[in-house]
Amino acid sequence: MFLRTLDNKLTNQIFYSFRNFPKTALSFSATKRLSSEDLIQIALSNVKVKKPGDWTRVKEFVFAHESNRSQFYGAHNIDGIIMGTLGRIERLDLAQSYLKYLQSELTKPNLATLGRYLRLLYDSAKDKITEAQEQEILSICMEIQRNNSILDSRTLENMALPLSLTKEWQKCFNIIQEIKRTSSVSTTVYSAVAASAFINNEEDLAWNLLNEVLSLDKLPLSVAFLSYIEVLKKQKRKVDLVKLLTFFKESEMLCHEEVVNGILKDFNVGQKTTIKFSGECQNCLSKLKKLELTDAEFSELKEVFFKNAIIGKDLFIKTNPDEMRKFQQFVNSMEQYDVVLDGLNIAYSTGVQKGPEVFSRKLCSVISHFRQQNKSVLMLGRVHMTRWPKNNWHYIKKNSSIFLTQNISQDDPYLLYCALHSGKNTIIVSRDLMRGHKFLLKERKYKILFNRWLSQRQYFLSYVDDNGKASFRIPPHFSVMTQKIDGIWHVPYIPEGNGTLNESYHKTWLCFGRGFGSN
Amino acid sequence: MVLLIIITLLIPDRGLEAITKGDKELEHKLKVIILETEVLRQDGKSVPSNEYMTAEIWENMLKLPSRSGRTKYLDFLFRTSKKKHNKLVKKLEKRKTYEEQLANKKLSPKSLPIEEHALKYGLSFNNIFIRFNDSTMNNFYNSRLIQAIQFGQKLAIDCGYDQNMTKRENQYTAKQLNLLFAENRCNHDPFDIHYVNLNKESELTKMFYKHVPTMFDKEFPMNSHEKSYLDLFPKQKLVYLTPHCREEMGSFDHDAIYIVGAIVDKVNHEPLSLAKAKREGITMRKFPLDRYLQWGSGSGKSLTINQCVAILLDLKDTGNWNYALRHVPRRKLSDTTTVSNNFKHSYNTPESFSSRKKAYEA
Repeated sequence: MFLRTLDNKLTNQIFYSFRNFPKTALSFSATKRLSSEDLIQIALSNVKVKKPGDWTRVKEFVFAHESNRSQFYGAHNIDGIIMGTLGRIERLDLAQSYLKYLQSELTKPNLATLGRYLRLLYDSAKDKITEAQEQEILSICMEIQRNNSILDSRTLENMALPLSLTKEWQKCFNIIQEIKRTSSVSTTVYSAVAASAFINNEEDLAWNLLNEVLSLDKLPLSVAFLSYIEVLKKQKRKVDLVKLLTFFKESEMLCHEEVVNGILKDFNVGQKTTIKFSGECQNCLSKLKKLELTDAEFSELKEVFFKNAIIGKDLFIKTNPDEMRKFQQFVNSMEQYDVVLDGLNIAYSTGVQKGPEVFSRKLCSVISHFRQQNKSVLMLGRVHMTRWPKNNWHYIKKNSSIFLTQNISQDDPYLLYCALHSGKNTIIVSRDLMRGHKFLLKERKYKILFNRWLSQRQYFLSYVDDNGKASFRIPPHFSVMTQKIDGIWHVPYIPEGNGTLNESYHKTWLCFGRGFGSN
Repeated sequence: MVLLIIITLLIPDRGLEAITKGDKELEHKLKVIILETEVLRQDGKSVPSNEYMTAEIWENMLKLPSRSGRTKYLDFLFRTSKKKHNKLVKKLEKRKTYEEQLANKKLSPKSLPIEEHALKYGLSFNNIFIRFNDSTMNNFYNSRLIQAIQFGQKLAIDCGYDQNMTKRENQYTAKQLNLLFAENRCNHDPFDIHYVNLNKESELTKMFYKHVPTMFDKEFPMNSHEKSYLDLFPKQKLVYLTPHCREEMGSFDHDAIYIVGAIVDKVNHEPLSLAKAKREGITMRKFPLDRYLQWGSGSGKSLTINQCVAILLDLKDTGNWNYALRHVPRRKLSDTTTVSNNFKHSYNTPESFSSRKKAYEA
C-alpha cells in the first residue's frame, strides 16, 4: 500500500516536471516582468538624479536590469515610461529636469511623453494655476498641434485636461468632438471641461455637459461640482446652491463626501447628520419621504421590463412560447397580491445542499410569516418543487398562489414582472440583487425607475430561527436620494474611503437646516 | 517626430487603400488608430512591432469601437508575436546543432566497423522497419475513419453558431474542431463525425479550412453538410448535448446521434444551444459533471469542444464516467492530488493501461 502511494507520488512528480517547462530567457511569459512603474522607482532609488545628465544613468540602469532580459524596454518607449512614472508619483520637478535632459540630447519628446507631462501639469495645477504654468501648457499644446495633422484620442485627452484650466478652454470642445470620432470621451474630460465652463460663467454649457455625461450612463466627477461651489462663493451667490441640489435631485445621483465638505467649508450652512430608519433626520427632526413612482412611470417601467427582460432577443433563450402563453394567461387573470416570493431563492438561502426537507420548511416559515399578517402571497418556483416532502408542499399550496416555471427557464424575470403587474405596493422577497435584469433595461431613465421601485419593495430574508420564525432586512422608510422636505434640503453622499453605500446609507447625509433655500 | 509619424503611416500604405476603400471618414479613423498604436508603443504598453502589423490586423482594429478594446487586442497580438519569435529562435538553434552533428558525421564517415554498425540498433543504424512517413500514418488513421463512416456511431457537430461569436471565438472554435478531428481519428474506434450547418462562406469555415485544406475533397473522410442535422438524421435519435439543460446524461446510448454545439462563449454567455434545441424540440442532455467531480472555485465549468468529444469517445469505449471525465482539465478541480491519483493522464503509462482494463471490467 505504502509502496503504491509512493509510486503514485513519483509519477505525479514526473508528470508535473514535464508540465513545468524549463524557464529560459527566451520564453517571454515564463518570468513575470516587473511593472514599468516599479522598475523606474527602483532605478530612481538607486540613481540619484541631481542634474539632467544623471538621466543617462537611470536609463542604463533600466536597460541593464534583470527584468529587462526580453529587452521590452528600449529607446523607443523609455521616455514615455519614465514620464508616466513621474506623473504617478507627482514629481513635477523631476519631470521638468527630464525634459531638459531630452533637450540637451537634442531629441524632441514624443507624443506619449508630452501627453504624460501635460497630464502631470494638469494634476499639479488643477487647484491653482499660475501665469507661467498657463503659458507652458498653451505653448506645448500649440506645438503638438503644429507638428501633427491628426492626433489620437489618448493625446487629445491629455491635452484637453490642462487646456481646460487655461484661457483657451473653449478649444476643448473641438477636442471632444475629435475624440468622439475614434473613441468615447471619458468622464474625467467632461468633468474638467464642465468645471472650466462654470468658472468662466458659462453655466448653461456646464449643466449641458453634465447632463450629457449622465445620458451616456456615466457619473460626473466631483471636480465640476467643487468648481461650481467655488464660483458661487466668489460671487456671493449662496442661494444658487439650490441649482446644484436640484441637479442631484433630478439626476438621482449621489455625490461624494468631498463635495459635501466643500459646501460645509465655503458656506456657513448645513450639518452632517444621521437619518433614523423611520426617515427622521436627527438634525432638523423632519421626516424624509419615500419617492414613489407615478402611475405613468410605473406602467412604462412594466412595459419596458416585459419587452427587454422577459422577451429579450430570442424567446427560446429564457423560455418557450408555450410557457409564455401560460404565463400571460396567468398574469391576466391574476389578482393583486401583497407579497411575491422567490421560492427557490428562499429555499436555497442557506446553501443548496441541505436537502428538500430544509428547503421546504424554510419556505413554509416565510409564507406563514406573511399569512399571520393576513397578507396574500404569490410564490414563484420551478416544476421540480412539486417533488418536495408532501406535508410541506401541501402547506405551501394551501397558503399561497403558485406559478411554476419549467425547470429550464429563468424565473427571476417572471418574479419581477408578477410583482410589477400586481401593483405598486407589492413586496418582493428575494436575496437576489437583480443587477442583470436592471442592466437589460439599457436606458438610464428606466434603470433609475427600476432601482427606485425595487429598493423600496424588496425584502431580504436574513435568517429563519429554530422555531421557524423568519426575519427580514426590510427597506428603510425613505429614499436614499437628494430631497427637499418642508423646505429643508437633505443630501446623501458617498463616504470617502469605502466606495459603497450599502451599510451606511443612513449615516452619510447632509442636512441644510431651516435657514437655507426654504423660500 | 514629424518624420517618425510619416514613417509609421507609410508602412501599411499598400493595405491602407484596400482597407478603407476610399471612405474619407474611415481613412481618417485608420490614421488616428495607427497613431494611437504608435503612442501606446511609446508609452510602454505591449504593442507588437510595426513589421508584425498586417493589413488584416489594421482592418480588425478598425472594427473595434473602443480604445480599451484596441489596447487589449494589441496586447494579445504582442503575446502571439513574441511566441512566434521565440519559436523561430528555437528552431534556428535546433537546426544549428543538427547541422553541426551532420558535419561531425561527415568528417568521420566510417568510424564504426561493420560488425559494430550492425549491432547498434536505431535510426541510421541497423533497423528492421523502414521509415514511417507522415502520409503513411495519415492513411492509416483515415482508414479508421472510413471504417467509421460505414459502421461507426454518428456524431454531429453543429457549426451553426458562427454568427453568434466574435472573430476570436470563431478562431478558437476552428482550432478546436481541428483538434477534435485529429483526436477522433487516432481513437481505435472513432465516431463518424458530421459537421452540420457548416456554411461555406462563414468565418468559422474559412479558418477551419486553413487548418484542414483537404476538408472538401471527395476522397477525404470528413463529412461536412450545409444542411441541419434535422434534414440528415431521424429526429427521435438526436440528443443535443448542452450544459444549460437540467437533465443529466445517464449511460451512453450507442444508438443515439449526439450533437455537440461548436461554440466558444467567452463574451456572450447566453444559452444558445439550449434555445436552439428547445425550439427544435430535440432531447437535451448534459454531462453529469457535478455528480462525478469536485469542482474548484474560479475557473468555471466550461469544456472545449474537443474535450467533449474526447469524453464521448472514452464513454463509448468504456461506459465509465469516472474514466471518461479524465479529460476535464485538472486545474478546474478542487483537489489535484487525489484526482490525479484516480485518473491517469496518458495512455502510455502501465498504470493507465491497468486502469483502462479496470474500467473495461467495471
